[in-house]
Amino acid sequence: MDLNEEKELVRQAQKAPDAFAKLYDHYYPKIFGYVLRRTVNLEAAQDITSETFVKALRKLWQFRWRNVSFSAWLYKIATNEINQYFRQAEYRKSASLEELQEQGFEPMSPHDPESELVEAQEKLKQYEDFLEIQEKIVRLPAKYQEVITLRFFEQKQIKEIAEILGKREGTIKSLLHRAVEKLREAD
Amino acid sequence: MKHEDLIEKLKNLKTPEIELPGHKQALRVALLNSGHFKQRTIMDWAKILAPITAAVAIIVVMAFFNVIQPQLQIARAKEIARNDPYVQALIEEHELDIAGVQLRDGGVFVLLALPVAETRDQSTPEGCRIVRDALSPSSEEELFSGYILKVDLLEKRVSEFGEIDEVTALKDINLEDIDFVKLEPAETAAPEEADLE
Repeated sequence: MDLNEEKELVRQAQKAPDAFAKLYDHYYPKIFGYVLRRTVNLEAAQDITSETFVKALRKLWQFRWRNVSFSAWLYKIATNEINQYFRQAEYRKSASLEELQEQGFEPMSPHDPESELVEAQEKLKQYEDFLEIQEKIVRLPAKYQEVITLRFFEQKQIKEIAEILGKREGTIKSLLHRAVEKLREAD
Repeated sequence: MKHEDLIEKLKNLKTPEIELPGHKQALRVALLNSGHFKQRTIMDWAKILAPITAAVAIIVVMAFFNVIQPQLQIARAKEIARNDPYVQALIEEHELDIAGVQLRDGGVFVLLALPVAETRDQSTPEGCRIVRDALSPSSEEELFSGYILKVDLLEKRVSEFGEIDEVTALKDINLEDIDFVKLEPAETAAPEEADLE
């Protein structure tokens, strides 16, 4: 999806469900993957992803394509949710699918979340190297976790990371350098 | 491990690419059927109507303070003046009437003079030689004499009065030139004791 196409879709998605569906299909894997790589917790990743898209849907009419792209805007929402997850001993799970139904969202299409989760859990265990290093990353302050994940796992450019985190590019470079150094010290 | 080596390790790390198609589909359905898009239509209208409503509200407020409120104050001042026993005594004694009301310098002033119909009547009482509608520009040559009253709308009474001579219009009266006499509420209640001279 190129930038102009995305701009047009975002404009349409403010009113048309079809356009929103296209954006959702495009970004769901990215956001879910990002959240999972930050939390290494499938259930939390589900809830945070749900909350991210619910918030995006609710705030989409306010979104203006100015300094931040739609992609960065979504990552920003997800990042805030992840930070909230880490701050709170028990994430409020307001966006779990059951909670969404209680909030008036339509009933879910039939799927078996338990078996899906078990299967995904088994897959996740196979990424041993990642899990090993992620265990050290989560011990770092959130600001370092953010830049490491976005730069190395999400392959975001410095400019994009700056957009997502609302910081200057120079600050991101400096944060990234320090984050790697901290991780190296923890190794 | 060196800094650069760790960077290389992070770059080449195989990260989990896991999807939950069931969750994805379920959330998709939930979002698209949530009714938020119907609410967006309401929000659209709200966005359009909000500035219009604000503009109308401002116009109404301005109209109230610039047109309606002054008219109400003028009407109230007339009523207060008419019901004031002291003014009633003045009117009866000199056959005067309210010839004009004007808001000036933060106060409300009522002009007491003879009715226009009597301006050409030779039996005009002393002190009320020629009377005309003070706010009417149609009879610029005519002059009037009478009394000017200051009405206190808060206390609902005539608070001061002064004599006027040979003035062409209420708006032309220089209030600083008027020797206003204060009326105490007690005086108002006993007009027969007030010194009309």
